[in-house]
Amino acid sequence: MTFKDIIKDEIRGNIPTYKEYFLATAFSVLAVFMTLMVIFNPLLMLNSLAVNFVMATKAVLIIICIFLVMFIYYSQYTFLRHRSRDYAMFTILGMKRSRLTFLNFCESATVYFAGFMTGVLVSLLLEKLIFMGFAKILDIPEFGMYLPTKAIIVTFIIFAAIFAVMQIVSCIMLHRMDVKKYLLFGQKTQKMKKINVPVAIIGAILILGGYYLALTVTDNNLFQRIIPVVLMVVVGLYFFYSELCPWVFQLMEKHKACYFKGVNMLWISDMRYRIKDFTLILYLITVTMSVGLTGFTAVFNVATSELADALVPNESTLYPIAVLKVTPYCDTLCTVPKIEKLLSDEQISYTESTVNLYTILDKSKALIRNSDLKYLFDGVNMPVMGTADTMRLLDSEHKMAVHLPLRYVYAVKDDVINRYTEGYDECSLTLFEFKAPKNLGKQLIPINDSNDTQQTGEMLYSSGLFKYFYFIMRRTYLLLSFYFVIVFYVCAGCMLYFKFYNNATEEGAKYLSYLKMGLSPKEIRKSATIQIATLFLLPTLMSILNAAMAMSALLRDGAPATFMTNTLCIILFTLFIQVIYYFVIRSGYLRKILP
Amino acid sequence: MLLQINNLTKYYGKDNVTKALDGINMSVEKGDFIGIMGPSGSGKTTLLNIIATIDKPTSGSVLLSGQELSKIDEEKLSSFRRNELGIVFQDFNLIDSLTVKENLALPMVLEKKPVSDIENRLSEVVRLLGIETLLEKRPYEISGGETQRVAIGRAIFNAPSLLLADEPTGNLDTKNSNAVMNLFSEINDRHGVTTLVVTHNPEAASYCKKIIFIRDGRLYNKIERGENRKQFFNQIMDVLSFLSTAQDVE
Ligand SMILES: Nc1ncnc2c1ncn2[C@@H]1O[C@H](COP(=O)(O)OP(=O)(O)O)[C@@H](O)[C@H]1O
Ligand SMILES: [Mg+2]
Repeated sequence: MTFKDIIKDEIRGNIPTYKEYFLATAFSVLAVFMTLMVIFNPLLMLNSLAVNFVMATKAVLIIICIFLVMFIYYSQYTFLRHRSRDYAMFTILGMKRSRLTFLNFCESATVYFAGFMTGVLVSLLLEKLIFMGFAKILDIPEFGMYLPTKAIIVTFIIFAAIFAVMQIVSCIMLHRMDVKKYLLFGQKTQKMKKINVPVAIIGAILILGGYYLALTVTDNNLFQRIIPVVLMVVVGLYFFYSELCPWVFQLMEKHKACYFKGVNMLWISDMRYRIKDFTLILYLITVTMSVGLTGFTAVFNVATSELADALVPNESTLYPIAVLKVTPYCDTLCTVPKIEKLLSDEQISYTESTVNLYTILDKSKALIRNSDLKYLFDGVNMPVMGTADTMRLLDSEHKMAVHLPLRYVYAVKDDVINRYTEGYDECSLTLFEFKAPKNLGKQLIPINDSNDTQQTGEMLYSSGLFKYFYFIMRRTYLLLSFYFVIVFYVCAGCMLYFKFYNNATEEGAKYLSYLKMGLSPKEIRKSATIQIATLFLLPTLMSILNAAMAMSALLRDGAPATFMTNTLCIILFTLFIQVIYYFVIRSGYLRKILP
Repeated sequence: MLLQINNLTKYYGKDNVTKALDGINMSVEKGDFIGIMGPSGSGKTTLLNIIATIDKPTSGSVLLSGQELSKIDEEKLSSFRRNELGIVFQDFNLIDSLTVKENLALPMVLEKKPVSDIENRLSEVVRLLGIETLLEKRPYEISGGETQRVAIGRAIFNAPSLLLADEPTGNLDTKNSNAVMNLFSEINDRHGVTTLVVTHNPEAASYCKKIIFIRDGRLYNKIERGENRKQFFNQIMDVLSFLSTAQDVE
């Protein structure tokens, strides 16, 4: 048997450790990559009107990415800790530290790369699935059909960087490794760490203070408070898990009559240990879920509310379709005949009129003959100038006549134009008048998509199309909110699963010795169940609380009543999902510790 | 008769190829202090585990105070184990997250006895073990010998009718090993606790009153101690050398 054989055997025996590490990597890649795919998706129609909104969404996503990166770092660290004992043994057998470092590099690189590839592939699949599925349900075009090269590259860079940092850390750890420590005492017993009561109290004050500020926020100070409140809660939460919770369990231990009763003693004392062990993971899960839940609730509320409706121009124009042809030199008319065909196919009777416009300067200004204006808009007021990006010609009933991206349109006497036409670019404006059906916008989509403005110099304007774009945008937000809630829940769930799975092996040995000490399987199950439930419910409840506080700050007075019901529904839904997930994990965990 | 074992067998593996126990008959009187010895793999742990109700026999019966162990249903088993039996293992005897005091009290806490009763019993056991200074410490803060003392304390906390120990001195040096065996014999002498100790250390075994030797899952020999421990030790050594030569011939 050569040294190589020993290592081969040893690697085979360590498959569970690799598996955990692999899964953790794959899921982090999944979350980060899926997030980036959306950020970089060029097809997503996130209209420029909602630019703040898009930025906020991206900021949230970037925060999530940072926390996921922390998670992968954590799983790397766990992996190394698991392997350290074997590495110590190799050192005793005479392996040089430099070779050990190389071995560690090969091992983790293989597993890491496999995890990375799996994560990317599964994400691509999942993304297509979610987008296709929800696009069908929400009745909007699909956005998934693009190869996210940029997202892949960025994901790769992020994960390569983490890997590089981790390799440096493990190099240092391996070189400093105290071999004796591992061999003499075998499994390192976790020592009871001292609880820092002042820090626990500070944590409580920070969280409560943050909540207070969130609850008492007003329109005036909303923006000044966002950063301090988020910081207070994010810092406070860490102290909450690292000091406050263990302190609470310690106080429970002091209550003799309760503590010295049945399995209470077991789970309370055990929780005091484990909450310290779980601190980072619970913290990460809480932050991920809080952000995800807040984002989801906010986006969902906005996407489904009347506030969003207010953004959509709901006036219908006098001329439902207008085609502006800016290049007078191009003879091949494409869009107009297509519209004519569409309208006659749909058996809609229409009238079509074409007039000339003369654009000047940067093409945001145009001239129109007075007679043409009279002809098109009988009884129209003077053009409204300098209002928005659109020409709003209002008729006598103050209805919008047409929708054009021209800032100023000046009506000019016919003979003036006739005299000076040479200096201007001539454009033609074709207007269709008919009674617009409800789904006009959707029917115009293929025509609009096939029209290449660069080539044809034609632009299609229709309030129906405009409305439809808004409709798609809102639905897209809805879709995105679902997309992210799925990704966040899956990730939070996986972190918990990872941690429990990681623990079950050690816990199994512990519970087996409990069994021999005379504990009944029922008592062991009870103790384990209380612990899993606590570890599960804590982050869920904390994130729901955080999301509720954030929502109450955003909603305040004057928010539509549907916000409240929506938010409640989402919270109940989250609880429901978590409870189901809890039962899944619990049964797996119990089966693992008590075969 | 406290414990009666009739024709006990335990087979392992496909087609029962491994005969861990192969027809054991023995009986234990109240107040006995019995050592079980034998080469590694001879079935000592298996025997003890079956008596401790941790394992089930393939055939045969074990009666404790006339009660057939395999007939006790699963639900009552742990309560039975807690009240009638005290068990000490080679390691993993204590719960790391509990203090020594809490570890000791565990059996009564699980029975949901009132706190005052627990405190009373605690002071009795602590006095017996002489571990007053350790009470607030945690298992990782005390030595191996002390760990076993605490484990014995927990095993006798509920005043069991039978105390079982599987290689309790396996991880200890001679000095600590002797101290632990002394504690067993003291508990047996003064409190009349019937004790079964598995060991392969002849010196530790010499503290027992009787010794049963098993080999290949069968009873091989049985010796009783006179007044003198030294003499008993020599006697044990004789049997052991026989045991190993018999094995060599085979
Ligand atoms: N769970 C098991 N499965 C299969 N064989 C076992 C099992 N436990 C013990 N054995 C076998 O039974 C025999 C007796 O084991 P054991 O009672 O542990 O011996 P001892 O404690 O005297 O060293 C050994 O041959 C061992 O390999
Ligand atoms: Mg054994």
